[in-house]
Amino acid sequence: MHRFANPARFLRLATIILPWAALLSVGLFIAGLWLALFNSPGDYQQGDTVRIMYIHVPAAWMSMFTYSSMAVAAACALVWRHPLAEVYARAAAPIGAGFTLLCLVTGSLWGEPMWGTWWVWDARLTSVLILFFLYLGFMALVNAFDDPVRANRAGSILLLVGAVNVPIIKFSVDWWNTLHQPASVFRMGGPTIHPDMLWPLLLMALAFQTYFVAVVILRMRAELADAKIQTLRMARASAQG
Amino acid sequence: MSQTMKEFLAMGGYAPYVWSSYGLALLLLLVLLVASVAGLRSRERTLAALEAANPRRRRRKADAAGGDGGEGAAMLPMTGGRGKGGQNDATDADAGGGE
Amino acid sequence: MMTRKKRRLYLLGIAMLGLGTATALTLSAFEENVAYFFSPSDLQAKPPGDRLIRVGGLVEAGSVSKQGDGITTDFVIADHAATVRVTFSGALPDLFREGQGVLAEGRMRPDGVFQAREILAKHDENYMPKEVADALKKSGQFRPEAPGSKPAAGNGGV
Repeated sequence: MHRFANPARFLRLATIILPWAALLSVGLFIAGLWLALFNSPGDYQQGDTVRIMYIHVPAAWMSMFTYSSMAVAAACALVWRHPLAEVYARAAAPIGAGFTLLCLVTGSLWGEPMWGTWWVWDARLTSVLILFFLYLGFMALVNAFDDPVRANRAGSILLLVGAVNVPIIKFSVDWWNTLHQPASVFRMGGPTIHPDMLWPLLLMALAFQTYFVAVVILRMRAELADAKIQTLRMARASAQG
Repeated sequence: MSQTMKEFLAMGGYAPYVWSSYGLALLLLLVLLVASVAGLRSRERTLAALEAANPRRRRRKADAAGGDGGEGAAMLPMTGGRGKGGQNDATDADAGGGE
Repeated sequence: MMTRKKRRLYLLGIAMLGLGTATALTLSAFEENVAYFFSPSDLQAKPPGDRLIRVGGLVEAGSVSKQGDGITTDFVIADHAATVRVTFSGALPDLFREGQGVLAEGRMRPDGVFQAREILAKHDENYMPKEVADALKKSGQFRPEAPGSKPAAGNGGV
Protein backbone atom coordinates (compact mmCIF):
# COMPACT_ATOMS: atom_id res chain seq x y z
CA MET A 1 0.00 0.00 0.00
CA HIS A 2 2.69 2.46 0.93
CA ARG A 3 5.23 1.58 -1.69
CA PHE A 4 4.61 4.88 -3.41
CA ALA A 5 3.89 6.80 -0.27
CA ASN A 6 7.45 8.00 -0.24
CA PRO A 7 7.30 11.26 -2.21
CA ALA A 8 10.86 10.80 -3.45
CA ARG A 9 9.94 7.46 -4.96
CA PHE A 10 6.77 8.95 -6.43
CA LEU A 11 8.70 11.87 -7.88
CA ARG A 12 11.18 9.54 -9.54
CA LEU A 13 8.35 7.50 -11.09
CA ALA A 14 6.49 10.68 -12.09
CA THR A 15 9.59 12.05 -13.80
CA ILE A 16 9.69 8.94 -15.97
CA ILE A 17 5.95 8.98 -16.78
CA LEU A 18 5.53 12.71 -17.44
CA PRO A 19 7.29 13.04 -20.83
CA TRP A 20 5.60 9.87 -22.14
CA ALA A 21 2.15 11.02 -21.04
CA ALA A 22 2.74 14.46 -22.57
CA LEU A 23 4.03 13.04 -25.84
CA LEU A 24 1.23 10.48 -26.06
CA SER A 25 -1.35 13.19 -25.34
CA VAL A 26 -0.08 15.42 -28.15
CA GLY A 27 -0.07 12.48 -30.58
CA LEU A 28 -3.56 11.39 -29.57
CA PHE A 29 -4.91 14.94 -29.85
CA ILE A 30 -3.50 15.26 -33.37
CA ALA A 31 -4.96 11.91 -34.47
CA GLY A 32 -8.25 12.48 -32.62
CA LEU A 33 -8.76 16.00 -33.99
CA TRP A 34 -7.88 14.85 -37.50
CA LEU A 35 -10.60 12.20 -37.35
CA ALA A 36 -13.07 14.38 -35.46
CA LEU A 37 -12.89 17.39 -37.78
CA PHE A 38 -11.76 16.10 -41.17
CA ASN A 39 -12.26 12.41 -41.40
CA SER A 40 -15.59 11.47 -39.84
CA PRO A 41 -19.13 11.69 -41.19
CA GLY A 42 -21.85 14.04 -40.01
CA ASP A 43 -24.76 12.46 -38.16
CA TYR A 44 -27.91 11.51 -40.10
CA GLN A 45 -30.02 13.64 -37.76
CA GLN A 46 -27.65 16.15 -36.23
CA GLY A 47 -25.32 16.89 -39.11
CA ASP A 48 -22.03 18.53 -38.18
CA THR A 49 -23.09 19.40 -34.63
CA VAL A 50 -22.21 15.79 -33.81
CA ARG A 51 -18.58 16.95 -33.88
CA ILE A 52 -19.22 18.75 -30.58
CA MET A 53 -19.56 15.24 -29.13
CA TYR A 54 -15.82 14.63 -29.57
CA ILE A 55 -15.15 17.36 -26.99
CA HIS A 56 -18.30 17.09 -24.88
CA VAL A 57 -18.29 13.36 -24.18
CA PRO A 58 -14.56 12.97 -23.30
CA ALA A 59 -14.90 16.01 -21.00
CA ALA A 60 -17.95 14.39 -19.37
CA TRP A 61 -16.19 11.04 -18.92
CA MET A 62 -13.11 12.73 -17.47
CA SER A 63 -15.20 14.85 -15.10
CA MET A 64 -16.63 11.65 -13.61
CA PHE A 65 -13.36 9.69 -13.73
CA THR A 66 -11.47 12.49 -11.99
CA TYR A 67 -14.06 12.82 -9.25
CA SER A 68 -14.23 9.03 -8.71
CA SER A 69 -10.45 8.78 -8.44
CA MET A 70 -10.43 11.67 -5.96
CA ALA A 71 -13.07 9.90 -3.87
CA VAL A 72 -10.99 6.70 -3.86
CA ALA A 73 -7.97 8.78 -2.83
CA ALA A 74 -10.06 10.32 -0.05
CA ALA A 75 -10.95 6.85 1.24
CA CYS A 76 -7.25 5.86 1.17
CA ALA A 77 -6.39 9.05 3.03
CA LEU A 78 -9.01 8.52 5.73
CA VAL A 79 -8.53 4.78 6.25
CA TRP A 80 -4.82 4.19 5.59
CA ARG A 81 -3.54 7.77 6.02
CA HIS A 82 -1.80 7.41 2.69
CA PRO A 83 0.17 10.66 2.49
CA LEU A 84 0.08 11.04 -1.30
CA ALA A 85 -3.69 10.48 -1.54
CA GLU A 86 -4.52 13.97 -0.30
CA VAL A 87 -1.85 15.48 -2.52
CA TYR A 88 -3.48 13.73 -5.47
CA ALA A 89 -6.98 14.96 -4.59
CA ARG A 90 -5.81 18.56 -4.26
CA ALA A 91 -3.87 18.37 -7.52
CA ALA A 92 -6.68 16.72 -9.51
CA ALA A 93 -9.53 18.99 -8.35
CA PRO A 94 -8.88 22.01 -10.62
CA ILE A 95 -8.43 19.71 -13.62
CA GLY A 96 -11.69 17.92 -12.84
CA ALA A 97 -13.47 21.24 -12.39
CA GLY A 98 -12.11 22.34 -15.78
CA PHE A 99 -13.37 19.17 -17.48
CA THR A 100 -16.80 19.59 -15.87
CA LEU A 101 -17.03 23.22 -16.98
CA LEU A 102 -16.03 22.21 -20.50
CA CYS A 103 -18.68 19.48 -20.47
CA LEU A 104 -21.38 21.93 -19.34
CA VAL A 105 -20.45 24.66 -21.81
CA THR A 106 -20.08 22.39 -24.85
CA GLY A 107 -23.32 20.65 -23.84
CA SER A 108 -25.01 24.03 -23.91
CA LEU A 109 -23.50 24.83 -27.31
CA TRP A 110 -24.82 21.51 -28.59
CA GLY A 111 -28.22 21.79 -26.91
CA GLU A 112 -29.13 25.17 -28.38
CA PRO A 113 -29.09 24.14 -32.06
CA MET A 114 -30.34 20.56 -31.54
CA TRP A 115 -32.72 20.58 -28.58
CA GLY A 116 -33.68 24.22 -28.98
CA THR A 117 -32.44 25.28 -25.54
CA TRP A 118 -29.15 26.17 -23.84
CA TRP A 119 -30.13 24.62 -20.55
CA VAL A 120 -32.89 22.60 -18.87
CA TRP A 121 -33.16 21.48 -15.26
CA ASP A 122 -33.43 17.79 -16.03
CA ALA A 123 -31.78 15.15 -13.83
CA ARG A 124 -28.66 14.72 -15.99
CA LEU A 125 -27.81 18.39 -16.47
CA THR A 126 -28.60 19.26 -12.87
CA SER A 127 -26.49 16.44 -11.42
CA VAL A 128 -23.50 17.45 -13.57
CA LEU A 129 -23.89 21.04 -12.38
CA ILE A 130 -23.84 19.68 -8.79
CA LEU A 131 -20.60 17.85 -9.68
CA PHE A 132 -19.10 21.16 -10.76
CA PHE A 133 -20.08 22.76 -7.45
CA LEU A 134 -18.61 19.77 -5.57
CA TYR A 135 -15.26 20.42 -7.22
CA LEU A 136 -15.45 24.14 -6.36
CA GLY A 137 -16.58 23.34 -2.81
CA PHE A 138 -13.70 20.91 -2.31
CA MET A 139 -11.14 23.45 -3.52
CA ALA A 140 -12.60 26.18 -1.31
CA LEU A 141 -12.77 23.85 1.70
CA VAL A 142 -9.17 22.60 1.61
CA ASN A 143 -7.98 26.18 1.34
CA ALA A 144 -10.20 27.44 4.15
CA PHE A 145 -8.26 25.82 7.03
CA ASP A 146 -4.92 27.01 8.38
CA ASP A 147 -4.13 23.51 9.58
CA PRO A 148 -3.45 21.30 6.52
CA VAL A 149 -4.30 18.10 8.42
CA ARG A 150 -7.79 19.33 9.24
CA ALA A 151 -8.17 20.84 5.78
CA ASN A 152 -7.39 17.56 4.07
CA ARG A 153 -9.62 15.57 6.40
CA ALA A 154 -12.59 17.88 5.81
CA GLY A 155 -11.90 17.74 2.07
CA SER A 156 -11.79 13.94 2.06
CA ILE A 157 -15.12 13.72 3.87
CA LEU A 158 -16.72 16.14 1.38
CA LEU A 159 -15.36 14.05 -1.52
CA LEU A 160 -16.84 10.85 -0.10
CA VAL A 161 -20.23 12.44 0.64
CA GLY A 162 -20.30 13.86 -2.89
CA ALA A 163 -19.42 10.48 -4.37
CA VAL A 164 -23.12 9.48 -4.27
CA ASN A 165 -23.59 11.98 -7.09
CA VAL A 166 -21.45 9.96 -9.52
CA PRO A 167 -23.86 7.00 -10.01
CA ILE A 168 -26.72 9.51 -10.08
CA ILE A 169 -25.10 11.29 -13.03
CA LYS A 170 -24.41 8.02 -14.83
CA PHE A 171 -27.88 6.51 -14.41
CA SER A 172 -29.99 9.69 -14.34
CA VAL A 173 -30.87 9.18 -18.00
CA ASP A 174 -32.16 5.67 -17.25
CA TRP A 175 -33.91 6.29 -13.95
CA TRP A 176 -35.88 9.41 -14.85
CA ASN A 177 -37.38 11.14 -17.86
CA THR A 178 -34.67 13.53 -19.02
CA LEU A 179 -34.19 15.69 -22.09
CA HIS A 180 -30.67 14.27 -22.33
CA GLN A 181 -30.55 11.01 -24.29
CA PRO A 182 -29.36 7.72 -22.72
CA ALA A 183 -25.79 6.43 -22.94
CA SER A 184 -24.46 5.50 -26.39
CA VAL A 185 -21.13 3.85 -25.55
CA PHE A 186 -21.08 2.34 -22.05
CA ARG A 187 -24.42 0.56 -22.22
CA MET A 188 -25.88 -2.93 -22.16
CA GLY A 189 -25.92 -4.40 -25.63
CA GLY A 190 -22.94 -2.47 -26.99
CA PRO A 191 -22.42 1.01 -28.42
CA THR A 192 -25.08 2.62 -30.64
CA ILE A 193 -22.51 4.79 -32.39
CA HIS A 194 -21.28 3.97 -35.86
CA PRO A 195 -17.57 2.92 -35.80
CA ASP A 196 -16.62 5.91 -37.99
CA MET A 197 -17.80 8.13 -35.11
CA LEU A 198 -16.71 5.86 -32.28
CA TRP A 199 -13.02 5.96 -33.27
CA PRO A 200 -12.56 9.74 -33.09
CA LEU A 201 -14.48 9.68 -29.81
CA LEU A 202 -12.22 7.03 -28.25
CA LEU A 203 -9.03 8.74 -29.49
CA MET A 204 -10.14 12.06 -28.07
CA ALA A 205 -11.06 10.36 -24.78
CA LEU A 206 -7.56 8.84 -24.56
CA ALA A 207 -6.04 12.22 -25.43
CA PHE A 208 -7.97 13.81 -22.55
CA GLN A 209 -6.92 10.97 -20.24
CA THR A 210 -3.19 11.29 -21.02
CA TYR A 211 -3.45 15.09 -20.75
CA PHE A 212 -4.90 14.55 -17.29
CA VAL A 213 -2.03 12.23 -16.27
CA ALA A 214 0.59 14.76 -17.40
CA VAL A 215 -1.05 17.77 -15.77
CA VAL A 216 -1.89 15.97 -12.52
CA ILE A 217 1.79 14.97 -12.20
CA LEU A 218 2.82 18.61 -12.67
CA ARG A 219 0.30 19.72 -10.07
CA MET A 220 1.26 16.99 -7.59
CA ARG A 221 4.89 18.05 -7.86
CA ALA A 222 3.80 21.63 -7.17
CA GLU A 223 1.74 20.48 -4.16
CA LEU A 224 4.71 18.52 -2.79
CA ALA A 225 7.02 21.50 -3.28
CA ASP A 226 4.43 23.69 -1.55
CA ALA A 227 4.33 21.36 1.45
CA LYS A 228 8.14 21.42 1.62
CA ILE A 229 8.10 25.22 1.55
CA GLN A 230 5.64 25.27 4.47
CA THR A 231 7.86 22.88 6.47
CA LEU A 232 11.01 24.90 5.79
CA ARG A 233 9.29 28.16 6.69
CA MET A 234 7.99 26.63 9.90
CA ALA A 235 11.42 25.22 10.75
CA ARG A 236 13.00 28.61 10.14
CA ALA A 237 10.40 30.41 12.20
CA SER A 238 10.94 28.06 15.12
CA ALA A 239 14.72 28.30 14.79
CA GLN A 240 14.55 32.09 14.93
CA GLY A 241 11.94 32.21 17.63
CA MET B 1 -10.54 30.36 -50.19
CA SER B 2 -11.54 27.15 -51.88
CA GLN B 3 -15.08 25.88 -51.87
CA THR B 4 -14.28 22.79 -49.79
CA MET B 5 -12.48 24.95 -47.23
CA LYS B 6 -15.53 27.24 -46.98
CA GLU B 7 -17.79 24.24 -46.59
CA PHE B 8 -15.56 22.80 -43.90
CA LEU B 9 -15.52 26.04 -41.92
CA ALA B 10 -19.28 26.44 -42.24
CA MET B 11 -19.89 23.11 -40.45
CA GLY B 12 -23.23 22.67 -42.16
CA GLY B 13 -24.41 26.03 -40.84
CA TYR B 14 -23.50 25.23 -37.25
CA ALA B 15 -20.08 26.93 -37.35
CA PRO B 16 -20.56 29.15 -34.27
CA TYR B 17 -21.53 26.19 -32.08
CA VAL B 18 -18.92 23.72 -33.34
CA TRP B 19 -15.97 26.10 -33.53
CA SER B 20 -16.64 27.76 -30.20
CA SER B 21 -16.74 24.29 -28.59
CA TYR B 22 -13.33 23.41 -30.01
CA GLY B 23 -11.96 26.88 -29.28
CA LEU B 24 -13.08 26.79 -25.66
CA ALA B 25 -11.66 23.29 -25.22
CA LEU B 26 -8.30 24.41 -26.57
CA LEU B 27 -8.32 27.55 -24.42
CA LEU B 28 -9.23 25.69 -21.23
CA LEU B 29 -6.71 22.86 -21.70
CA LEU B 30 -3.93 25.35 -22.51
CA VAL B 31 -4.71 27.69 -19.61
CA LEU B 32 -4.79 24.76 -17.19
CA LEU B 33 -1.47 23.45 -18.53
CA VAL B 34 0.28 26.82 -18.48
CA ALA B 35 -1.03 27.64 -15.00
CA SER B 36 0.13 24.24 -13.70
CA VAL B 37 3.62 24.63 -15.18
CA ALA B 38 3.91 28.22 -13.89
CA GLY B 39 2.74 27.15 -10.43
CA LEU B 40 5.34 24.40 -10.30
CA ARG B 41 8.14 26.68 -11.52
CA SER B 42 7.39 29.44 -9.02
CA ARG B 43 7.26 26.96 -6.12
CA GLU B 44 10.52 25.36 -7.20
CA ARG B 45 12.12 28.81 -7.25
CA THR B 46 10.79 29.64 -3.78
CA LEU B 47 11.97 26.29 -2.49
CA ALA B 48 15.45 26.75 -3.95
CA ALA B 49 15.71 30.21 -2.39
CA LEU B 50 14.54 28.92 0.99
CA GLU B 51 16.95 26.03 0.94
CA ALA B 52 19.84 28.25 -0.10
CA ALA B 53 19.05 30.57 2.80
CA ASN B 54 18.98 27.71 5.27
CA PRO B 55 22.46 26.20 5.58
CA ARG B 56 21.26 23.12 7.52
CA ARG B 57 19.21 22.04 4.53
CA ARG B 58 21.93 22.38 1.98
CA ARG B 59 23.00 18.79 1.95
CA ARG B 60 19.47 17.63 1.34
CA LYS B 61 18.97 20.09 -1.44
CA ALA B 62 21.97 18.57 -3.14
CA ASP B 63 20.38 15.16 -2.72
CA ALA B 64 17.13 16.27 -4.24
CA ALA B 65 18.89 17.90 -7.15
CA GLY B 66 20.82 14.72 -7.77
CA GLY B 67 17.56 12.87 -8.15
CA ASP B 68 18.37 10.39 -5.42
CA GLY B 69 15.42 10.04 -3.17
CA GLY B 70 17.21 8.23 -0.43
CA GLU B 71 16.75 11.09 1.99
CA GLY B 72 13.36 12.05 0.69
CA ALA B 73 11.40 10.32 3.37
CA ALA B 74 13.11 12.36 6.02
CA MET B 75 11.92 15.48 4.25
CA LEU B 76 8.39 14.27 3.95
CA PRO B 77 6.44 17.42 4.53
CA MET B 78 3.13 15.80 3.80
CA THR B 79 0.08 17.56 5.13
CA GLY B 80 2.18 19.20 7.80
CA GLY B 81 1.23 16.37 10.10
CA ARG B 82 4.76 15.46 11.02
CA GLY B 83 5.95 18.99 11.18
CA LYS B 84 3.39 19.71 13.80
CA GLY B 85 4.29 16.62 15.70
CA GLY B 86 1.76 14.88 17.88
CA GLN B 87 -1.32 16.34 16.25
CA ASN B 88 -2.20 13.11 14.55
CA ASP B 89 -3.09 9.88 16.18
CA ALA B 90 -0.52 7.17 16.57
CA THR B 91 -1.31 5.36 13.35
CA ASP B 92 -0.22 8.26 11.24
CA ALA B 93 3.35 7.53 12.08
CA ASP B 94 3.31 4.35 10.04
CA ALA B 95 2.21 6.10 6.90
CA GLY B 96 5.70 6.83 5.72
CA GLY B 97 7.47 4.77 8.28
CA GLY B 98 7.71 1.59 6.29
CA GLU B 99 10.60 2.70 4.19
CA MET C 1 -2.21 -0.91 14.02
CA MET C 2 -4.23 -3.16 11.75
CA THR C 3 -7.26 -3.07 13.99
CA ARG C 4 -7.41 0.71 13.90
CA LYS C 5 -7.20 0.74 10.12
CA LYS C 6 -9.79 -2.00 9.86
CA ARG C 7 -12.08 -0.14 12.19
CA ARG C 8 -11.75 3.01 10.09
CA LEU C 9 -12.45 0.97 6.97
CA TYR C 10 -15.62 -0.56 8.46
CA LEU C 11 -16.73 2.81 9.76
CA LEU C 12 -16.26 4.33 6.32
CA GLY C 13 -18.10 1.42 4.68
CA ILE C 14 -21.07 1.77 7.01
CA ALA C 15 -21.14 5.55 6.58
CA MET C 16 -21.13 5.24 2.78
CA LEU C 17 -23.84 2.57 2.88
CA GLY C 18 -25.99 4.80 5.08
CA LEU C 19 -25.41 7.79 2.84
CA GLY C 20 -26.24 5.80 -0.28
CA THR C 21 -29.45 4.43 1.25
CA ALA C 22 -30.54 7.88 2.44
CA THR C 23 -29.93 9.33 -1.02
CA ALA C 24 -31.79 6.50 -2.76
CA LEU C 25 -34.78 6.90 -0.43
CA THR C 26 -34.87 10.68 -0.88
CA LEU C 27 -34.66 10.43 -4.67
CA SER C 28 -37.36 7.77 -4.91
CA ALA C 29 -39.60 9.86 -2.64
CA PHE C 30 -39.27 12.80 -5.02
CA GLU C 31 -39.44 10.68 -8.14
CA GLU C 32 -42.16 12.78 -9.72
CA ASN C 33 -40.28 16.03 -9.18
CA VAL C 34 -37.05 14.62 -10.60
CA ALA C 35 -38.76 13.53 -13.81
CA TYR C 36 -38.45 16.33 -16.34
CA PHE C 37 -41.58 15.44 -18.29
CA PHE C 38 -44.62 13.16 -18.44
CA SER C 39 -45.47 10.70 -21.17
CA PRO C 40 -48.91 10.74 -22.81
CA SER C 41 -49.71 7.58 -20.80
CA ASP C 42 -48.84 9.38 -17.56
CA LEU C 43 -51.29 12.16 -18.49
CA GLN C 44 -54.04 9.67 -19.23
CA ALA C 45 -53.47 7.94 -15.90
CA LYS C 46 -53.19 11.20 -13.92
CA PRO C 47 -54.85 14.21 -15.58
CA PRO C 48 -52.74 17.28 -14.74
CA GLY C 49 -55.51 19.89 -14.63
CA ASP C 50 -54.33 23.25 -15.95
CA ARG C 51 -50.87 23.10 -14.31
CA LEU C 52 -47.82 24.06 -16.37
CA ILE C 53 -46.32 20.70 -17.36
CA ARG C 54 -44.05 19.07 -19.93
CA VAL C 55 -45.13 16.22 -22.18
CA GLY C 56 -42.58 14.06 -23.97
CA GLY C 57 -42.90 11.39 -26.63
CA LEU C 58 -42.52 10.83 -30.34
CA VAL C 59 -44.00 13.09 -32.99
CA GLU C 60 -46.53 10.78 -34.63
CA ALA C 61 -45.72 10.19 -38.29
CA GLY C 62 -48.11 12.10 -40.57
CA SER C 63 -49.60 14.17 -37.76
CA VAL C 64 -47.73 17.44 -38.35
CA SER C 65 -49.76 20.19 -40.03
CA LYS C 66 -48.91 23.87 -40.50
CA GLN C 67 -51.82 26.25 -39.94
CA GLY C 68 -52.75 29.13 -42.20
CA ASP C 69 -51.05 31.78 -40.07
CA GLY C 70 -47.65 30.29 -40.93
CA ILE C 71 -46.36 30.01 -37.36
CA THR C 72 -48.79 27.60 -35.73
CA THR C 73 -48.03 23.90 -35.94
CA ASP C 74 -50.37 21.12 -34.85
CA PHE C 75 -49.08 17.63 -34.19
CA VAL C 76 -49.60 14.57 -32.04
CA ILE C 77 -47.21 13.32 -29.34
CA ALA C 78 -47.43 9.56 -28.89
CA ASP C 79 -45.92 6.87 -26.75
CA HIS C 80 -46.68 3.20 -27.24
CA ALA C 81 -50.01 3.43 -25.40
CA ALA C 82 -51.46 6.92 -25.63
CA THR C 83 -51.46 10.14 -27.67
CA VAL C 84 -51.80 13.85 -26.95
CA ARG C 85 -52.78 16.51 -29.50
CA VAL C 86 -50.49 19.55 -29.33
CA THR C 87 -50.68 23.01 -30.83
CA PHE C 88 -47.74 25.43 -30.86
CA SER C 89 -47.06 28.88 -32.29
CA GLY C 90 -43.43 29.66 -32.83
CA ALA C 91 -40.13 28.45 -34.21
CA LEU C 92 -39.45 24.72 -33.95
CA PRO C 93 -35.98 23.35 -33.13
CA ASP C 94 -33.88 21.99 -36.02
CA LEU C 95 -34.27 18.43 -34.84
CA PHE C 96 -38.09 18.57 -34.78
CA ARG C 97 -39.42 16.01 -37.25
CA GLU C 98 -41.94 13.23 -37.56
CA GLY C 99 -40.98 10.03 -35.80
CA GLN C 100 -38.47 11.80 -33.59
CA GLY C 101 -38.50 12.55 -29.88
CA VAL C 102 -40.05 15.82 -28.76
CA LEU C 103 -40.85 17.63 -25.55
CA ALA C 104 -43.60 20.22 -25.17
CA GLU C 105 -44.02 22.62 -22.24
CA GLY C 106 -47.40 24.17 -21.68
CA ARG C 107 -50.91 23.58 -20.35
CA MET C 108 -53.77 21.24 -21.14
CA ARG C 109 -56.75 23.16 -22.59
CA PRO C 110 -60.28 22.21 -21.53
CA ASP C 111 -60.86 20.80 -25.03
CA GLY C 112 -58.09 18.24 -24.46
CA VAL C 113 -55.54 19.89 -26.76
CA PHE C 114 -52.15 20.66 -25.23
CA GLN C 115 -51.29 24.33 -25.70
CA ALA C 116 -47.47 24.38 -25.89
CA ARG C 117 -45.50 27.53 -25.22
CA GLU C 118 -42.11 25.88 -25.84
CA ILE C 119 -41.01 22.91 -27.93
CA LEU C 120 -37.71 21.09 -27.39
CA ALA C 121 -36.40 18.31 -29.59
CA LYS C 122 -35.10 15.17 -27.92
CA HIS C 123 -32.76 12.90 -29.77
CA ASP C 124 -31.95 9.26 -29.13
CA GLU C 125 -28.67 7.47 -28.44
CA ASN C 126 -28.11 6.41 -32.07
CA TYR C 127 -25.37 8.09 -34.08
CA MET C 128 -24.61 7.11 -37.68
CA PRO C 129 -23.71 8.63 -41.04
CA LYS C 130 -26.59 9.56 -43.33
CA GLU C 131 -25.61 6.88 -45.90
CA VAL C 132 -25.78 4.17 -43.25
CA ALA C 133 -29.20 5.36 -42.07
CA ASP C 134 -30.45 5.39 -45.69
CA ALA C 135 -29.09 1.90 -46.31
CA LEU C 136 -30.74 0.62 -43.13
CA LYS C 137 -34.03 2.23 -44.09
CA LYS C 138 -33.86 0.61 -47.50
CA SER C 139 -33.28 -2.83 -46.06
CA GLY C 140 -36.02 -2.30 -43.47
CA GLN C 141 -33.74 -2.70 -40.49
CA PHE C 142 -34.04 0.89 -39.38
CA ARG C 143 -35.76 1.07 -36.02
CA PRO C 144 -34.01 3.73 -33.98
CA GLU C 145 -37.02 4.41 -31.79
CA ALA C 146 -38.21 0.83 -31.55
CA PRO C 147 -39.52 -0.29 -28.17
CA GLY C 148 -36.62 -1.56 -26.13
CA SER C 149 -34.14 0.90 -27.58
CA LYS C 150 -34.31 2.46 -24.15
CA PRO C 151 -34.95 -0.55 -21.92
CA ALA C 152 -34.67 1.15 -18.54
CA ALA C 153 -37.05 4.04 -19.32
CA GLY C 154 -39.13 4.39 -16.18
CA ASN C 155 -42.62 5.00 -17.51
CA GLY C 156 -42.53 4.42 -21.19
CA GLY C 157 -41.22 7.82 -22.23
CA VAL C 158 -39.12 8.38 -25.26
